[in-house]
Amino acid sequence: MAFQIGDHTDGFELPVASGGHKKFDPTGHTATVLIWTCNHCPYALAWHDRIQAVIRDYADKDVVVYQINANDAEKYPEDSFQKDIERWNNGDFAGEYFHDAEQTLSKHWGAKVTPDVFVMNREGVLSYRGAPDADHDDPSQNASYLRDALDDLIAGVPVRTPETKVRGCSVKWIINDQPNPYI
Amino acid sequence: MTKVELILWSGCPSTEDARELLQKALTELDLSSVPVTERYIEDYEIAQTEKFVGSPTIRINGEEVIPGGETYGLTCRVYQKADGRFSPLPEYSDLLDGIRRLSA
Repeated sequence: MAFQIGDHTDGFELPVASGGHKKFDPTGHTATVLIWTCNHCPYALAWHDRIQAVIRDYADKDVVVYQINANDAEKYPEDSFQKDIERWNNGDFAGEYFHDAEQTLSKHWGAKVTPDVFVMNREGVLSYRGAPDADHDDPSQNASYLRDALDDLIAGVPVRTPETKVRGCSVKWIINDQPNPYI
Repeated sequence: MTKVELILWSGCPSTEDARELLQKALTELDLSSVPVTERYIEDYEIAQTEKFVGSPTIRINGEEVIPGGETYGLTCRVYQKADGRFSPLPEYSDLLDGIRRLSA
């Protein structure tokens, strides 16, 4: 199964690049954001700084943002946990960076590409799913889809556009039993 | 005879943009009559033997128009723009330079 808009999402516990394991709880904050990303995809890299800016800009608004890398690290060594840690130690991330080596969780959530943005409301209900904004190649877009969703949740109104089309590199599955997002 | 190849992987959404960018560059260099062969790589092992850095990859007579990358697989290729930003497509000026170099 994959979470759809309106579904209650689940918590989990995974290793984080900052050290040890961390629990993810989609409830209890005005908004909780979980973004599938990685270290080698040009779309993820192009949107990376905009996403980190969102984390910093909304930190004092009861919004927490987590990123997660689920790519097959054997075939794509740039996406190993060690590379996650190197990027973390280099200061590339403004929030926690999970690593889902087994990929079970990522399939459960229905992650498709990097980046793939999921935003939950205070009750853990999936309220936005899609891209950070309309154009990976235009920094002035400023992650506007994601910011709009967060602003709506902060204002206590329904998210104006709950779903947008994702665009990025498909998640690199160890057992590729997932549909190609572009066919 | 110049052989231009656009090598792609279906899991990357940049195919149409790559096609347009390559055609624009060939036209600008008066090479629009040169046929472009499109080829998809969908198997990880073939990506290794073909030294496929990612989609899109452009080769002329078997040579990389924009060399770089030593990790092969089924992925979108990372290019870097002149201003340092990462992109799934090559910088246009780099593409022009590469085509000029290999088609001379």
